Amino acid sequence: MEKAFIISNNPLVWDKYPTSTQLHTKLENGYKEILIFARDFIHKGSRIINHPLAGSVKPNETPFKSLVLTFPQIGVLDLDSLRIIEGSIQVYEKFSPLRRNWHESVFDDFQFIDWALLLSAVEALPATIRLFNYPEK
Amino acid sequence: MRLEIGNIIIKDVQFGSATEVKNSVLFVNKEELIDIVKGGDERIASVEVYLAKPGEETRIIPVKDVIEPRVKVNGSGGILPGFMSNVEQVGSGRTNVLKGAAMITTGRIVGFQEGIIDMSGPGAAYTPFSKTYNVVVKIEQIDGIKQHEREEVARLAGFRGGIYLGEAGRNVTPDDVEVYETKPLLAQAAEFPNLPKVVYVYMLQTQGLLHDTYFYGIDAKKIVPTFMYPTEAFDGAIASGNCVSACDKNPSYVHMNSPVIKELYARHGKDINFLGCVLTNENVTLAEKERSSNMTAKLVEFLGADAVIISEEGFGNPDADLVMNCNKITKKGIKTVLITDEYAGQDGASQSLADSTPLGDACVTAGNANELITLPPMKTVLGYPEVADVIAGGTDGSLHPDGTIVGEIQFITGATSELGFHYLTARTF
Repeated sequence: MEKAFIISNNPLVWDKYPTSTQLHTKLENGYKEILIFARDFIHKGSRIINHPLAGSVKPNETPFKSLVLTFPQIGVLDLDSLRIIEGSIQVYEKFSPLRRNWHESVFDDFQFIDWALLLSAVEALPATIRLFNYPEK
Repeated sequence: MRLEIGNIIIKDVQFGSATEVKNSVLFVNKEELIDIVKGGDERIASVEVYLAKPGEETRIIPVKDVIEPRVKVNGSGGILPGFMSNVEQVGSGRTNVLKGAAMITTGRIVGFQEGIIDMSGPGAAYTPFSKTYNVVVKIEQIDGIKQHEREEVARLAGFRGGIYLGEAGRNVTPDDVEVYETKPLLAQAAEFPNLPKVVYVYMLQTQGLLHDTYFYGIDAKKIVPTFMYPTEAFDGAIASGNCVSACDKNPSYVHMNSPVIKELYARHGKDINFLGCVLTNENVTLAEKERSSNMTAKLVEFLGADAVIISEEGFGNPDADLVMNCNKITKKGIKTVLITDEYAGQDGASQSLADSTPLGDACVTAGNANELITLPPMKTVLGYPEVADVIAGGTDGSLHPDGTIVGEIQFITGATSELGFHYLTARTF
């Protein structure tokens, strides 16, 4: 049995997975920060479960991002995860920064889409991977 | 499996007292169409119907789906199996098509939707649906229904409308008839033993809400890669639940008219032996990507392919699937050609894809989705023009007070179609 957790700056995801989500509250550059957090965890021995660029909502359009990572294992570096997260950060850097005043309803919709994409990943988790809080309390 | 496509050329669309085709004109009974599109779905509050013709100063926004009116004249099953008919095997017999007509749905699903079709002006050059005679249905859902239900409501409403229009072609003599045939594998391989055997790996967008595709009604993220006779696509076996990004998501119309399949058939028996299609998905987790690409490579090898064409749908996450398919198939000694589009920045200078591989040495691009365009104001706007303000591909102030929209071509329906159903091309001088 392997343990995994979610990192997310999406309040809707905090509500849906209260016991397995590491919260990040920052919205400004929040998308990028989540990518950087994920990269740091990958260097510490995590694997990334869902592709960061899932969904056609581009990184400069939505501020929300939710990722599933396995608990870090010391001495492990998953090169596929590293390649994917570095590629995603490059893509993020390519898009011009978010500069819009979103209506509240649109904000809700971005949260919903991010959650829907995360749900696709959570529902596809193999039986051998379960979600937990990280770090375990 | 042998399918005849009977093309009934449509040169105009008008409202009329009955829905019928007379002398290449599609007449539409508006009230009847509204009833059909509503279809007893209590989640629909209202339906409005408009016509949009080539050359008119009309903008449709946001476009949910485009459906070509088709009708199964003989052979098993019906158009859009799993939705509008049972799940009988399709792809054989005769299908009549109202060629030149299209059913377009517009409706609000989420607040930032995109998908623009301009019937004239510079934007019209970027979308194939500026050249079709369009019946546009605007679907208003009741308050309080969730986003995923909104998508389903609009998707099914469009399918009902498309099938209804297609029925008008049932008893009309087509202007021309195309014939497509693929035999069972061993017979097909034996038919042209000296020609290279080619398989088409048809990748479908399958990530979740607004990014889903259906095969015989089943959500394709739940399939494992499978074989499809190419003619099945012409009967709507693949149906779209996608609408963002509009430039490189395939509307149902495009699946029914896949230029990749048509081109492979055009060369079938001449310089290639086209064996058929392997359908695969583009799911969000890395494990699913590994599994699907492993099975795709296995299936392609099992079919005995010498070469494959691989088409991607979408950008970003699916680039990883494209690369995995390319690597694994190539390593089996099978040649690959990839079809994708690019997000290379507004200046075209950035890295185009989110993933890459040195084995992807034959690649066709459908264009750069970040190219900037200015769409002038239109006299008529069908749908919900306010979404242009928050459209993907736009930025703050994309929608000017006079109705001009400035942004990237990724907000135009089909602008960088990865099946090649569009007008962008590259030429050397």
